Parts: sequence; C-alpha cells; structure tokens
Amino acid sequence: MNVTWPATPMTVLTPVVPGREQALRESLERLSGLGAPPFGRVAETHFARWVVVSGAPWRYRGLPRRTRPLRMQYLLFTSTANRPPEQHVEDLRTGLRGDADAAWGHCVGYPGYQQPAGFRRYLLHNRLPTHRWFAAYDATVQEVGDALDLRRRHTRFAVRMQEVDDLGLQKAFLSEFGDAELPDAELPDAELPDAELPDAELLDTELLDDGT
Amino acid sequence: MGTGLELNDVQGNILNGYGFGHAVHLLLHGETPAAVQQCLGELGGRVTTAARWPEGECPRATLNVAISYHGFERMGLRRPLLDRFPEAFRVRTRERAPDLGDVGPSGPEYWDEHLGSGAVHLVLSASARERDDLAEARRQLREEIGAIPGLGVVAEQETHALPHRREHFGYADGFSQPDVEGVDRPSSHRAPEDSGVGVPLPDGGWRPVRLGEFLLGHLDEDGRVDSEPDPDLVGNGTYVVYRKLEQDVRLFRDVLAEAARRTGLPEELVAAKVMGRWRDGTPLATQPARSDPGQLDDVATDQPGNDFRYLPDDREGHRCPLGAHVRRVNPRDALDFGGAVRSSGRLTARHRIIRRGMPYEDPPGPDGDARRGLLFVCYNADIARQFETIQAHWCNDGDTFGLGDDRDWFIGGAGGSGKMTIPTRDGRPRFVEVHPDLVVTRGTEYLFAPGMRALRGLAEGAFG
Repeated sequence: MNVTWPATPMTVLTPVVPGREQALRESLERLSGLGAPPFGRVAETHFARWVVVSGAPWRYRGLPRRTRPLRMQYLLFTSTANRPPEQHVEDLRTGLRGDADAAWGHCVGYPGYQQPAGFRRYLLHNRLPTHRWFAAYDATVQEVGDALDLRRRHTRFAVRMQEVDDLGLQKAFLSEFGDAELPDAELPDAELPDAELPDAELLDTELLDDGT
Repeated sequence: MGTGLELNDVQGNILNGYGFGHAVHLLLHGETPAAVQQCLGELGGRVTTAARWPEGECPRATLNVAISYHGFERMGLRRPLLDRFPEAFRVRTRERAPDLGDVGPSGPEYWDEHLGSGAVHLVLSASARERDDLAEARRQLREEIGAIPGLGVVAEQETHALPHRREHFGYADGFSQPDVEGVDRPSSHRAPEDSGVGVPLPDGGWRPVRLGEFLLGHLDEDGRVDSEPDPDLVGNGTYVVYRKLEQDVRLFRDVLAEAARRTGLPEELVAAKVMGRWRDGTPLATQPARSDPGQLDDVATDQPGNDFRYLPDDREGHRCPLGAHVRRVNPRDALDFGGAVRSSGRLTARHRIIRRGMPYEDPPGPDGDARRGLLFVCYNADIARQFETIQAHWCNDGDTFGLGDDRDWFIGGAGGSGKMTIPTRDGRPRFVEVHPDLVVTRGTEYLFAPGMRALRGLAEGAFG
C-alpha cells in the first residue's frame, strides 16, 4: 500500500520554436539511445515520456484523408509520479538537469534548468488538466522495484530447487526467505466470503469426529 | 481492387509454397537508379507467378524478387510515396533491433555485415527441386547481373531442406501455414485432418484467413483494404521478413539433457513441451503423452495434424504449456482473456504470417565450426502488426499469456525471467532454463515483393 503521496499525473504541452523541430527530434533520439533513461533519475516517477506532436507524417490507415495541419509543432510531456506537482517539477529539474534543456530547450520561452523559479513557472504554466488517467500500481516506485526483485528471487529459487524433495524444499525456502515478513496465516480465512463458511464448519466437524 | 485474386499478378511462393528443397538468395546493391530499374526490366519477365503450373510442367527453377525501402529510394521512387510506406519498413532493421529483442549475442554488431545496413536494394531468390538446377539458375543470374553496369551482389545465401522436413534442432517444420481465403491449397492439405490452419470459429468450425492479411489491396480481417502508399505500387504485393537465425545444435542437445535431468521428465517430452509439438510434428494438444517418448520415429508424420484448439480443455497448459513456442506464435483460440472474448480466433487472425524459411549451413568460421540455422522468411501485409507483434510481444514477453517475464524458450532472446514454465497435473510445475545463445539473430531485412504489374511499372520508372 502506498503511504506517501498518491500517484499523480502531469501533462505539459509546450510549443516548439519554429525551425527547431528537427533538432528537437534528434535530441530526443539521442536521449532515447542512452543506456540509462534520463527519467530514471527523477525521484518517485513511474512513467514519463516526451512526444513531438506534429500531425501524421504519413497517412495512417483509418485517419481521415484531409487533415488540418497544425500551425506549430508541440512537445508533449506526460508523467505519473508519487509526488505533488510542484515537487515533481523540482525533481524533474534536479534529476534531468541538462537533459531537460536538451528537450524543452527547443520550446518557446523555456528558461533552462539552472533557473529554478523560471523552470517551475514554465512547466506549471504550460500544464494541462489531466481528466482521465490510470496508474498501474497503488505502490511507490520503491515498492514496485522490491516486489519485482522478490519475484526474481522466487523464480531463481524455484528453478534451482525443483529436484529437491518436499522437506528439503521447505528447509531451503526458510533459509532463503526466512527473513521475509510472512503474511498472517489467519488472514485468508478471515476474508473468506460467507458462502465458504459451511464447508469450513463441516471440515471442523469431521476433524472433531475423527478425534473422538 | 478488394475482391478477386489474380494469381498471374502475384509472385509465386507466397500463397502456396513451391515445395522445392533448394534455394539461393542473391542480395544486390545498385549504384544508380538505372542499375536497379534495368535489373527489374531484364529479369522481371522471368519472375515466377502464383499461377498454378499445368500438370507435368513444373519448372526446373523459379525466380522471385523483393525490394527494400532503400531499393525503392535508390530507384528514385517519388518522395511522397516513400514517406507513406509504414515506419517499420522505412527504418533500418538495425535500428529496430532492440525492439525485437536483438540485443546481446543477437545484437546488430554480430550481424552479417550487409544485413539491415541499407546496402541491400534487391533480393533475387531462385528455388529448385534439384541442386544442379539451382546451380545453373544461380550461374545464369550471376552472369546477367554482372552485365548490368552499377549492379553488384553484396552477399549470397544458400538454403537447403534437411531430410524429413526437419530443421537443425530436429523438429519437423513448415507444415502449419494459414489457410488463405480464395487460395486453393494442394490437395494433400485438404485432408480433413489438416483443417485447423485458418481462423477458429465459436461454433467449432474454421474459416480461411482474409486475403488482405497477406496481400495488399484486398480485404483484411478488420474489413479494410490497405493500399498505401499507392494501390498500383503495392496491390497484390506483400511485405517480406528475411531473418537469419543461427542455431547452436550442440548447446541445444546439452541443455535438453540437462533440462530432462533437472525436471525429471523424459528428454523427448521436454523437447515437445518447449515447442508444443513432438519432434515429428505431432501436436501436444492432441497427443500430450506417448508410451515411449524416447523411441520417436525419425520421419516426420505425413500429416502432423493441425486441427486442434487450446480452449476449453487446455486453458492451464497441462497438455501444451502456455509458453510453448507454437502456442505463442499462433495462439489460435487461446487469447480469450479468461472468457471475456468469445471470438478469440479473430484476435489471432490479425497476427498471422506465412512462413517459407529453410535451413542453411554457412562455411566454417575461424573456430572451424560450421554455422547453421534457419533462414526465416515470412510474408505479411503489415510487418509491425504481424511479424513484429509475434516476435516482440508474444515471444519476447509473457504478459499476453499471463506468464509475466517468461519468454519464448527458442527465440525469446536475452532478459526476462530466464525460465520457461511447464505446468503439470501432478503437483509442482517444472522449470526449464532459457539459454539466449541457443538461437541468435544474424541479421534482418524487411523487403516488399510487388505484384507483377507493379514490377513492370517500377522497371519503367512509373513511380518516379
């Protein structure tokens, strides 16, 4: 369960300086080619992307034949982070640093990441309301990462231990994961729907009969 | 267009395979537009079409041609046409490699030098039943190419069928191809036991896949007709994926033996579970067990059987694992999202391909080992929606099948969970480790095989 700020979307649309569209594309291409994605340095961010909005470069199937060209091209930024918007903007500034300039630096009126107040004003001013959105996880980035790590450990363990008998498996499991916090064994019963109860009672009765 | 099938305008080997066991692909580079056009002009008349050969008049050799995006560019196609080709076709395959999982040992740095680099403009493919006929066809082609100024062969790739229709790992291959609307299949494939290659219907029957899934200019499964960028250029044509996959046979034998030891299953059963078919081609869906899996006949069954579904009886994958290769690349009716989609076969029908690959064996490398594998060739109307979806989303990922990070055991590449899951009825599932070096990519080219009228138009510069 997420105990920090809930996952929050952000959408920012900024006009590209006329004539700089190709340079922006090349910049984004370069950022995509980096080994470690720049958004990975932005705290508490689940998802983020830049998209150049330019109209369809080729006639995509299903698109109307006559489309009205945009007067300008735009850079669309969308993200989801466990942060209030103002804090997320500051995280973007300190996390992306020069990479922020490589993208938004081609947009009209962008002040640069070294101007904290200007950077904040620019992104918040160009922010669009996000009416409908979906967050994949009700958990922090850290919690998601930890869960994936745990799954990987379980997978490796399962592959490694498939030749072991039941008792050996239990021993190996406790040795490998014994330090993990195990869920309360009674919790599942407490959550059983009412329809399950007669079976449970029957089971208890049978056990009692066996005992007498 | 949109109705009717003019076999005389469609290149051969697409809708029905030639069934020849030997082929050579000549990869050509043209220095000038004239060189490429002259080649199409001089050889275009000899290109083999899909028209049925009269009884007893089987040609000694066939010829087909496919053109890359850079080939179209080199021959001077109009820019508005070039720009409206699909992005998957326009971008160099070396750049698309990471999206297809071609990283690590399959990365473009290890590819054959010419593949995916933009250097290949045309691919001429000759096929023959006899090796001598192929040699003669190749000699003749080489001579003709040599006489065209500015045209050169950058590489050749020979392929030869192995005995009993096997590929190098020993699996029978190539007998499960889509049943295509309006296309008569050879009579041997019309046997009742060979139905099941089209679209599974909710009433238990099957219907052919719409022609537009494989030939442009015809109705596809979505009820649309794709004719971009120009109906005269792409009508009756198809996109070709040419992909060289190197197989490590020694490693395969080792990992199979090791997997059998660790899972406690017979080696042949493990081989069947990772593929979804026994090595003689019999599907696990219809024959999940054999009395003595170690004594399989070396000969592929004549009719390996295609008339099967995965639902409702094998939803858990106890017969054919959810992650088995054949279940991933053609899930048939299995993509019903827990029963939410009734006509699940229609989803799969949007992602079918026609495969015409054949094994290859290149001369030994510096280590003295022969390099062998499968020259995977497939035809589809939309590379991104068909071939790339199968490779990137169905083989390189497990989400579609509820398998998390599990990847295809053969061609899933590096990364992922590193294991394949074999569900069993008797308790614990078994796990088979994935070895990304088992099959590695040695290069990919995306090409377009135009219809015959378009070929003539291209030779005359009609689209310039």
